[in-house]
Amino acid sequence: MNARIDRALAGNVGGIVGCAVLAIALVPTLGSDYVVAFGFQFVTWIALALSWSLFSGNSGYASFGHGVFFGVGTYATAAMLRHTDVPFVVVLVVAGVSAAVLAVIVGLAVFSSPRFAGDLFGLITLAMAFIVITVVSNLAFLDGGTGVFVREQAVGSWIGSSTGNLFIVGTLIAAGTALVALAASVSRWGAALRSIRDDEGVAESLGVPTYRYKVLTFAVSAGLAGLAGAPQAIFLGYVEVGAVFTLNIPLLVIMMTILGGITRWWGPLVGAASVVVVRELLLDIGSPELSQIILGAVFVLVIALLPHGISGSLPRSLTRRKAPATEGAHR
Amino acid sequence: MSLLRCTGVTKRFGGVTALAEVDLEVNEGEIVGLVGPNGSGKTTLLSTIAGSLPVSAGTIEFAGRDITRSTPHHRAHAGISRTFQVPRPLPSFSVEENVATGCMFGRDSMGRTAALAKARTVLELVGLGEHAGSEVGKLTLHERKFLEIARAIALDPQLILLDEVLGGLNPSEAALGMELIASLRTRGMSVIYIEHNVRAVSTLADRMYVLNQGRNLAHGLPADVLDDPRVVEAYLGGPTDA
Repeated sequence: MNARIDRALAGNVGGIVGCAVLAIALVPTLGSDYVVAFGFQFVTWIALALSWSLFSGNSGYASFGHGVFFGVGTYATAAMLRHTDVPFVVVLVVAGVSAAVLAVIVGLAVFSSPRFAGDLFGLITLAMAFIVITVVSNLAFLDGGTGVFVREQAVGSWIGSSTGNLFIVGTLIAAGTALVALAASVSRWGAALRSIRDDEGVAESLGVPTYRYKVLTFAVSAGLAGLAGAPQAIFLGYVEVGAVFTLNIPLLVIMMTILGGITRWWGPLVGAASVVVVRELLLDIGSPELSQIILGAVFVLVIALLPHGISGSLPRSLTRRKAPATEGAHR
Repeated sequence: MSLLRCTGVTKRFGGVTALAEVDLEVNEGEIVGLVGPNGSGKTTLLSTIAGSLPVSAGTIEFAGRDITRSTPHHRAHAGISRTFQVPRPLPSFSVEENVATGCMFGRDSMGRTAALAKARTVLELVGLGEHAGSEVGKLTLHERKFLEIARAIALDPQLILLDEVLGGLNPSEAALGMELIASLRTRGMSVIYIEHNVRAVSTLADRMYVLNQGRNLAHGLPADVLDDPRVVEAYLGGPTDA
């Protein structure tokens, strides 16, 4: 039993690392500019869906603030590139830590009272978005309302020299997020979060320090989103509040997670991959309105037919063998 | 030696006083019965001991420490575990995962693999071994009640709070349950045992407390308490019909 779990775990880790290495080796060298740019967005959405689900999927506290954490990472990066000369690794760390610190502050307050559980938590994270947008718009060293040109600031560095390098960073972040999601799914950490989702009162009575787990996981989830936001600043080239803090991000991430299912750690990964690919295919229709409607209809249909999402609808025995293979979607 | 001491515990919900200056003491290795009519505050008192309800006044000491303001999980780590009157299994967890969660986060925190192994031995102990891998939704009422006990045992507590764990069971299931409760003492646990069925309590308990309308009515040896005319009056609504 123990050995079987270890082997399945090793298979999962191998799958994540293998897919990331393959993607990094092949996509920037063989892919066209278009493919590399698509690949960058693809891995960014995977990181966003997996990091959202890490907290919200596992604990049941649906956050609408994931776009804020992603945006904080993007703006932290833009500001660092504009005002400093530090290596990109440092920029990445600052982007992730900024988002995580914001989540700790919000989490410490919002989780301190059971009154803010459930729907109210979602509303508060939504309110947080408006506060952060206002702050960023009014602080000159971040934005000040005019938007920030990033491309020129990064053009001389390794990270700014090609989309392929952005893809490499994005893939590493997505793979790292997948490893964190996997770690949570097989450890006490995940058990604690899922017990909170099922019945927080029971979780406490069983000795689960629910407050600590919620604050810390919210911070890790936000920090990973902040990391994913860092290369995005360079990819966009021009950063503005309206485009960065869009409500599309939490809505799409929630859709991806529901679609992929939360009963397996890789559910949101499959969901993100499906949504990104379907959206890309729908671009060929030429009408954004029509493709939005089709995407919505597909979403409703899948929820009606597969209430537990794609990952939750496969029988256990099948998923055990399938799990490493499904990560092929990583490329 | 005193393990738990509640002194003047008061709980108000708005204008309603659910508990008024209740005193209760449990010694090490003791099984204490807690009885009283419906609405007398038994479950409320249990919840203040477990920490899920903060007290309005009074103190609760456990193993020599004041835990009046401790969170429920701190009390679980200190050695208090509880069952719920209406079973509350974690619905997305299997039977053994429910119990393993208690093992993981209880008094001796342990990793997932060790916790699952320990969960299986606990499930064997309560007679649910064959259901270890089942979904909780498939359990009968009696199995759910025993799962509550198994999960509480899994925390490896010094004091276990049982809230009507035998309610709604048929006589043979209840007999199994009573055997199980009696065996907790030999495993080093003290017990507070809420029960509607006074006879079941009086056979198991070393001492009994009777609550009425949120107040201490009587306490002492089961035989003495059951003979107390105030208890007969409050509990049975009159001196007749014993």
